[in-house]
Amino acid sequence: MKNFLPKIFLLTFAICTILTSSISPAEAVVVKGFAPIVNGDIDGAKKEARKQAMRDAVEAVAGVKVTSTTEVANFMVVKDEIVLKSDGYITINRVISEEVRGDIFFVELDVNASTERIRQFAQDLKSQLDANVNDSNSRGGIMTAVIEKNRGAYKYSPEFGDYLNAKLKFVGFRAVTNDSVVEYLIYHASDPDVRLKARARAKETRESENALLRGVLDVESVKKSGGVYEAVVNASFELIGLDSSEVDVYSKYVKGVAATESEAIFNAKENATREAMESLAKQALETVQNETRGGYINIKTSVVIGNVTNYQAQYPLIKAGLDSAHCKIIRMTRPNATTLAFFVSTDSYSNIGELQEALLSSISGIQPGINPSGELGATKIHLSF
Amino acid sequence: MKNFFGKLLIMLAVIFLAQSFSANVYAATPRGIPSGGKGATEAAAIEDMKLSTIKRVLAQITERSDDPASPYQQLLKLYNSFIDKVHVEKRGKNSSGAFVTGRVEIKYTDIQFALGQLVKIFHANDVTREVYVFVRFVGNVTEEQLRSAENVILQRYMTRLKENKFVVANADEVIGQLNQTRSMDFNQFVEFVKQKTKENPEICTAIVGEIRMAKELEHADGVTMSCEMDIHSLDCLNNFTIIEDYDGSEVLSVPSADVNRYGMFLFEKAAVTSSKSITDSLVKYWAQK
Repeated sequence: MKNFLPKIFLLTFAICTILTSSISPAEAVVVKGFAPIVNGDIDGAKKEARKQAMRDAVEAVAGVKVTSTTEVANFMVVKDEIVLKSDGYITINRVISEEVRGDIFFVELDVNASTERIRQFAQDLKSQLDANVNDSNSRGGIMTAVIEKNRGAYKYSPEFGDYLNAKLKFVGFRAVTNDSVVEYLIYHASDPDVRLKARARAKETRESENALLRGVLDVESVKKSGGVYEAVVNASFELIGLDSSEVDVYSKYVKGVAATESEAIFNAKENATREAMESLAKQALETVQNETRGGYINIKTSVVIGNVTNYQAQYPLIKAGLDSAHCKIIRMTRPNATTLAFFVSTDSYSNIGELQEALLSSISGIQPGINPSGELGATKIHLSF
Repeated sequence: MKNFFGKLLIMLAVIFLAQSFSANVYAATPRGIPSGGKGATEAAAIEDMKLSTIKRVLAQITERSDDPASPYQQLLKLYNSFIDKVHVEKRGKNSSGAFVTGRVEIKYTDIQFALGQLVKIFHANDVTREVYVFVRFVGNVTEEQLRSAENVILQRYMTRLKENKFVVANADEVIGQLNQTRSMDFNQFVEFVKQKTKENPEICTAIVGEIRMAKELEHADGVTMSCEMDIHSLDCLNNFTIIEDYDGSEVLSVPSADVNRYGMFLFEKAAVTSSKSITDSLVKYWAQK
C-alpha cells in the first residue's frame, strides 16, 4: 500500500500534465496575404501583404464568435492592434513564398500565433470599449456620420460605422453614430452644401458630443489583376468641432485586394477607414483637447448682440456684463449698423448654455435673440436689447 | 476492489483539482492595468513598471510630449503620487537584470484633477494660431467639382499649417455661401470674405485667395497648362493687415491624352507651393509679436 500510493500520485500527475499541456499556448498556422503595389513601391506592398496575412492568422486562431456588427467592429480593432504590436502575439517562423504578379504582391507565411494572449487581448479590448461611456474618463464625445457610395448609390454600413466608433473609443473618445445626420447625408448627397447642413443638423440633435466626424467612402473602381480583384476607394473625412470650427481632414485614395470583388471592396474600405482613423484620431487629440479636458473647459464663442440702437449707452453695458461674466473679449466687430459681434473666451462655465444664462443676467436690458434655425458653422450666442 | 475504487477516487479528485486550479488561473482578474518593467534590481523593475503604466494612462488623456514644460512631462514627474497599488505577479532575472510583470492600480481622479490644474496654467489662449482658410478654386467645372477641389486645397493648407503648430478652422457659415461668389472677381471675393469675418468675429486670421486654372495652350508636342495663385493672409485683429500677399504660377507641358490626370496634379502642386509660402510668413509674423 505504502509503495502503491506514491505510484498512483505519480500516474495522476502525469495524466494532469498531459491534459493541461493539450491547451497549447501557441498555434502554428500557414496564411496567405496580398497587397497592391502602389507607385512601384514593392517594399511597401510586401509589408502590407505580410500584415494582411497576420490579420488572417489572428482571425484563424482567435476563435472569437462574432454575432453583431459591434463585435465585428471590435474584432477589426483587435486585428489592427495585434498586427501593430505583433511581438508576443504573432511571430513569423518562415516565409514560404513571395512573388509579384502584375501589380499585386503575394506572400505565404508560416506563423506562430499565441491563442491565449490574443483571446485575452480581445476580452480586455471589449471591456475597455464597453467602459468608454464615462465622461470623466474620456477625452470628449464625437458623433459620427460616415456613409458609403457605390455605383452612384449612397448607403450607411453599420459594420464600418461601428468600426469607426471602436477606433475612436480605443484612443479614449466617446463615439456614437448620429442616425439623423446619416439619413440627411444619404438623401441630400448631391447637394454641394450637404456636409455643412449635416453639421447644422448635428448641432440640433446632439446630446453631449462636441465634435462631428462626417465623411464618405466612395468606391471608385474595381478591376481584376494578377488573378485577384483590386478595388479603389476614395475616403474623404472631416472631424469638425460643433461649438468651435476647428477641423481635421483626411482625403485619400486607398486600394484593397481580395479573391472576390466584394471582399476587395470590403478590404479597401477597411484599409481606408483604418488609415483615416489613425490619422484623424491623432489630430483629434489636439482638436478636442483644446476644448475639454481635466474638468476645465475653455469656451471660445461668438456673442452676437442685435438691436444696438444707441452705441454710446449700450456698449458700456455690454462690456461691463462681459467682464462680470468672466469673458475676455478677443475681437469685436460691427457687421451692420445695429449689431455688435464679440468673440469671447472664458473657462468659468461647462457649456455655452451656461454662458448664455450668465450673460442674460449680467448685461443690463438684454434678452435672448433669435437663434436662426439650421444655422451653419460654430455655435453662437444670439442676444438682443 | 475496495482498494481499486479508493485509488480511482483519489486519482479523479486530483485530476479535478488540477483542472479547476488551471481554470482559476485563467479566470482570475485582479484589479489594475496589466504591465511590466525591467531594471538592475527588482525595486528598479517595479519603478519601471509603475512609470510605464502611468505613461500609458497619461497618453489617454493628454498629448505625449518631450517638452519638459508640457502637461504630459509635468505629470510624469509626479507619477508615484498617482499609483494606488502594485501587484507583482511574476518576477525574474535575465542577462539585463531583473524583470517583473503584474498589475498597477491607478488613482484616476487624482490624475484628472492634476491635469486640470496644469491645463489651466498652460492653456494657450492664443486664438491667433487658429487659421481659417478660404481659398477658392476657379476653373471651368461644376459646383460639386469646385467644392471637391477646394476640399483638397484645404487639406494641403491644413497639413502645412498643422506642421507649424497652427490650428485650422473651417467656417461653414462662409463656405456655405461660396457659391454666391463664383461671379465675383478676386478683389470682390476678398471684400466678401472680410465682411463675413465681421459677421463671424471668431475668424481672427484668414487666408483668402484663389487658385485659377488658366487656359490650356495646345502645341505640336501636347498641351501647356498653367495654374495661377493669388493668396492673401490677413490679420483680422488688426484691421485686416496683410501679412503676406502671394502670387505665383505653376506651369506644366503634357501630352494631350494626359491633360485630365496632370490637371489635378498641377492644382495640388499650386496648393502645396502657396501653402508653404503663406505658412512660413505666418510663422515669422507671429514670432515678431
